[in-house]
Amino acid sequence: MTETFSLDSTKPQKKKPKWLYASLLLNFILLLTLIVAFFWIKNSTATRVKTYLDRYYDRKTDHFKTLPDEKDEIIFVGNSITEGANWSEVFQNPKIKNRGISADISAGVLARLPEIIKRKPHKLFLMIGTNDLERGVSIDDIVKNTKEILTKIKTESPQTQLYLQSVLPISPSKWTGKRENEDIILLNKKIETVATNLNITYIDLHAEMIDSGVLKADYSNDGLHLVGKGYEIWKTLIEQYINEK
Amino acid sequence: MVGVPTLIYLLLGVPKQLIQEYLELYYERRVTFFESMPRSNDEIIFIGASHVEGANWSELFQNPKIINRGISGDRTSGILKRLDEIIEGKPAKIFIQVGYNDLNAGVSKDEILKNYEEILKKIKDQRPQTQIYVQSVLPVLYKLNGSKVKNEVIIELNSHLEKLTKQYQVTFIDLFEPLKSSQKSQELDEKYTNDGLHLKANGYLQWKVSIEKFVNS
Repeated sequence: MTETFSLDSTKPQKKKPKWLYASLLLNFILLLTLIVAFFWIKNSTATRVKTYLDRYYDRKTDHFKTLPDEKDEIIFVGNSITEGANWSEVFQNPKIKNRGISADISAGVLARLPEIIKRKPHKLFLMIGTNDLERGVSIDDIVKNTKEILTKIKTESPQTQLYLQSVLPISPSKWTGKRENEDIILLNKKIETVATNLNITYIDLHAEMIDSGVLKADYSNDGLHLVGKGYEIWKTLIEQYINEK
Repeated sequence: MVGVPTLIYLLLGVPKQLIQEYLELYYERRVTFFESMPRSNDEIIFIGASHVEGANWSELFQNPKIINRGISGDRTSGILKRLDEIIEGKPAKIFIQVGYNDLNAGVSKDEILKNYEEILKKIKDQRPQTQIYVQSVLPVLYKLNGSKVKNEVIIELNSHLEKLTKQYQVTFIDLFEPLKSSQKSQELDEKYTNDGLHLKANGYLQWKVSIEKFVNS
């Protein structure tokens, strides 16, 4: 018994080779490097995307300021979904101005609102909020910002006819990110109330573009943005408001 | 150990593939939208990539005949694919500005010029009345632009483009000179850009000056 015990407790300890420790250490360093590299790359990709979008926003707002102010403009304000159509071509109406900026959020619209209000447009069509959801802005904050945008325009340019358009549904894919249809539905309900309280026309595009609970497949190729067909439907839904006095 | 290069490849490689996939979807969305648009007489078409897409040209010139057909990320081959739709509209003028994304993707100069020649040939054959304006590729500013495309390569491509336009008797418009820095360096002027590649508002105003007489002629 004693002999076996002494064998077990001393012999293996003495014979544990040095390379084992070296290998363990090397493996540890390698693992650590990989973890650091993983987060560094992940972060730098996110930072690059963020920087890219911020610069895009700056260039666009800068460009808008240099565009001449015409009488009775009809301004479309929003994000990439608004930016994605040449609205003046859609309606063959040169009074229509596209002020969509890819990736824009409600706070972004609020920040560039003075340049839009200054034009005292005849009509303004707003659609904003889906990128707020993606970036983790709370529904209450989006509603608050939307209300502020509409109130500001109403106060500072009372002649402007306002149209608030619903946020579109998504069809979940790798391109739709963190957005969820339940949140979009809830957000739409709340902004519709805001519009009603402010006596502003609310246009429900959501209901017309949904199919089995998701954005209709024919209207999109990534579950988030619209293809030509999607814009054709959108056109039919707002045409009467474009044409009304 | 086999896993390490694979992992690094995945981490670095995927974003690039994703960008490519994204651009292809974007191209499809834009093209389907363009195809659904009504056509009018005497259109002035601006065709190209993000540089062209980035300005509201019809507003800048106060001219509703101007139609923006820029698609971010587009290349000469992409233009060639959607050219029929453009020509069918019987435009009065076509302003082309494309080539940077070809260079960035490693498309050879010969291939770019071959595509360009095909573009010019196609328009001239099918619609000889349309006036064609080829605009040079713009300079870049290295310290802000992450890409490896060199200005010397752009200059060389531009000089070949200019030769091609002479051969086909279409107007060549140099945008490189008016947008490059007034210093000795052959780079995009820092005042015109915030990313070394795309133009700020004042860059577009400079561009406008260079093409105004051709748009209004």
